[in-house]
Order: sequence, then structure tokens, then C-alpha cells
Amino acid sequence: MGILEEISSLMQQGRAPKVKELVQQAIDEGVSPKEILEKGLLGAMSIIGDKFKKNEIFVPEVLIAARAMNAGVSILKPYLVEAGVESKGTAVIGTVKGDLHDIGKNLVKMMLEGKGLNVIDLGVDVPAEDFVKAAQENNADIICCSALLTTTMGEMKNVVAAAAAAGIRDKVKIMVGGAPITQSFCDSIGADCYSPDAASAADAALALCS
Amino acid sequence: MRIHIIACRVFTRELCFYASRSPHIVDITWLPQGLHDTPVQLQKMISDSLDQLYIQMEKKMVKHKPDVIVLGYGLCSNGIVGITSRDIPIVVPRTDDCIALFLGSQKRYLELFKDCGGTYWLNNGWIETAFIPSREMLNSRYEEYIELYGEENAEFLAEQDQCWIRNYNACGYISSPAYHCPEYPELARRVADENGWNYREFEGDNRMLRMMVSGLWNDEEFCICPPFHRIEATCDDKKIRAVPCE
Repeated sequence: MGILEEISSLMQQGRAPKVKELVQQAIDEGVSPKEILEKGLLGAMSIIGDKFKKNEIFVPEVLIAARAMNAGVSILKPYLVEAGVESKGTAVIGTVKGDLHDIGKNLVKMMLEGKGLNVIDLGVDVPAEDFVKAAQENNADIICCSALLTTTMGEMKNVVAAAAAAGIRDKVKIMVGGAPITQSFCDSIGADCYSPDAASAADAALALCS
Repeated sequence: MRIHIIACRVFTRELCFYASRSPHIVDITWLPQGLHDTPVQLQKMISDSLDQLYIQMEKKMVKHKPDVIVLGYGLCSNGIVGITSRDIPIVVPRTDDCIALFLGSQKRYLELFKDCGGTYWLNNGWIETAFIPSREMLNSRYEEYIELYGEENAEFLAEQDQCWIRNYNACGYISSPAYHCPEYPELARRVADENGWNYREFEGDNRMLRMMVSGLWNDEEFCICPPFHRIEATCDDKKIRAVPCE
């Protein structure tokens, strides 16, 4: 097994310390940081994402894989910067006002960072105006809103409205996600993108930034 | 009238209690508690239960056709959206989830949701059927994490569990007019203490659960989905509506 395959395999098992070690070893052996990221880490995350979609693995497996990915990325980052690989874009992320459930949001954050996006985490219970303010201050490309409850998902509509009221609606894309969210809900509130899971969210975010 | 209920197990005590006293003939299909976490799965299991009921009727295993099917669910993460009636109407309470049903109305639930933000709700049904964040259950989950993912990952995963627990600030125990077990409010209080939350008790009101088996469904609180209609979310106060199948 080549070192990139080994990194991929260990990442899928969620073995963060071992992934870190091997990413460093790959760099020392002269493998390009971009190749380690794309073939080793992001390749493994795609496999994890597919398995999750097929119900072959569950949230804990995705969480530990995402953590292992980020452990690898933390080693790669200075080398990527040195090689002139720029941030792919900026996203502000949070759970909407009234919603306190952040496991999904944290997972999406890890996935976005893995894809090379700069992520501003606003935490939980974030009022619509705060999403917009943070997007303005950070010149964000995307606002990512998460809600786990049907009682709070309506807040997403307020985020879309607040972005429009602040005059940034044409500059920022709004992504929505969380257990009760559907594509038709996303369409009905005028948001730009719905993702059913964290891996798809990262792919969609990257596409929105390009 | 014959009423067939497809319900979450969290309602076992209440629905059994009121079903036994209903003037109607009530049959119940139970589904596991916790399916709101995976709404796609919840929708599939309700649809599968409807399929099973119709198969049993076709094969004459069920001798009497129900006049109405009631879903013992609220929106429950939109898990009931997309459910389709056939020749029997389906009745669904217009609530976000079971907490509104245990509190007696969607209105009371929303008032409390607004006034008591950050409250983790518990009641008899949850204590008997669900994962609750007691030290004992969290420890046992941690052991499971160690076994499946190793010690280092187990710590990380337990930390992730703690994230949402830290975000809550109170435990609200809802009593039940149908059943009282003194150990349960004590357990709820212990869960609050263990997680550093405040503790409050709320008097439960089973009026909507009684209505489910009584046949007295008003349009304000229950959506009556006529034959060959599909359930949709309205994303407003009505919560759900029935639209004709194409």
C-alpha cells in the first residue's frame, strides 16, 4: 500500500494521531501537499460521505473521520500556504436563533475547513442579524444555517430576509441544513442551497465559492 | 368507529390508558422511539406500517377495516411529510412534536418554548423509552465509544455529546395525568443536577392524546387528510396540510 492509500485508510478509521504522523512522513518523502490533501484526505472523506449516504456508517464514524482529516490538514496547512494554495472562500456558520444543537454544524464546519474554506463559527442560537453582520465583516461568500427543530427552522427565512435588508443578498449565498430541512423548504424561503449531509454540504459550498 | 393508530412508543402508557376507555375500538401499531433523529427513516417506517395494515386487510388477517387511521406523531423533524392516505382518511395532530402533545397543545408548547429557551424536556415516556443525558447513560455510551472507536476517539465523541448538553440550561419534567411514578421526577432532577441545569416541573395535559382516540378532531388542532391525499408541511402555524395525490 502506498503512503497516500495508507493515509486514506487510516483517516477513514478515524485514527487522527496516525494520520498526522503519516502526512508529515509523506511530506518528508517529497509527496506534494496538494496531492496529499486531494488524494489522501479529501479522497477518504468522499468515501466516508458515500458510506454515510448509504447508511453503512453513522454520525460518530463521520465525526472521527472528519477529525482525522482536520488533523492531517493542520500539518499540511503551512505547506499549502507556502505553495501558494489560497483559501477557497469564506463561510460564516451557526445554528439559528432558538436552536442549541450543534453536532451537525460542527461536523459541517470541519468538512468545510477540510475543503480549504475559511470558516467563521458563530456558535449556537444565532440571531439572523448576527449572521448578516458576520458575513459583512468577513466578506463571506456563504452563510450556513443549521436547525434541528421544526420549531426553529422558520428562523432561516429571517436570515434570508436580513441578508436582503442589509443589501448583501447578491453577494452572499445562503446554505441551509439540519434534520427537518428539505429542498422544498429551501426553495420556499428563497435560500440558495440545501444539503442533506455534511459531505454534500462541503462539496456544495466549494461549488458556490467557485 | 374503528380507529387504527400508528404511534411512537413514547406514548405507550397514555395511549393504552385512553384507548382502553375510548367509546371507539382502538388498535395501535407501535414504532420505536427516537425516529425523529432520522426523519427519512421515520417516514419509511410509517409508510411500511400502512403497507402492512393494508396487506393484513387484503389477506383478511384484520377482520374489520378501520374507519380512520391516526398518526401518533407531530411533525417530528418532518418525518410525517410525504405520508399518503389510500381509501382510509388519516388524522394527524398539528404539533411540532410529542412535547406539545404531552403539554396539551401546540399553543402552550410554543409559549413555553419562547419563555423557557434551553429547556430539555423529560417525562415518563421519554424516561422509559429514550436515551436521556443521565451520567449513567452517558457513561455507558462512552464505554460503547471506547469499544467501537478506541479511547482517544471516545473522548472526542463524548466531548461532542457534551457540546449540546452545555447549550441547554434547564430540565423540564412534564408530569402525566395518566400515570405517576415518583422515581421519574427524581431522576429528571438528578439529570438536571448532573448537567448543571435548573430543574422545573410542568403539569402535563393529555387532552390531545385523549382526542386522538375520541374521534373529536377539530381542524385547528388536527389535520384530517382525506382519502388519496398526501401530507405536506406548511411551515406556518397550521404545521401541516393535505394535498390531493396527482
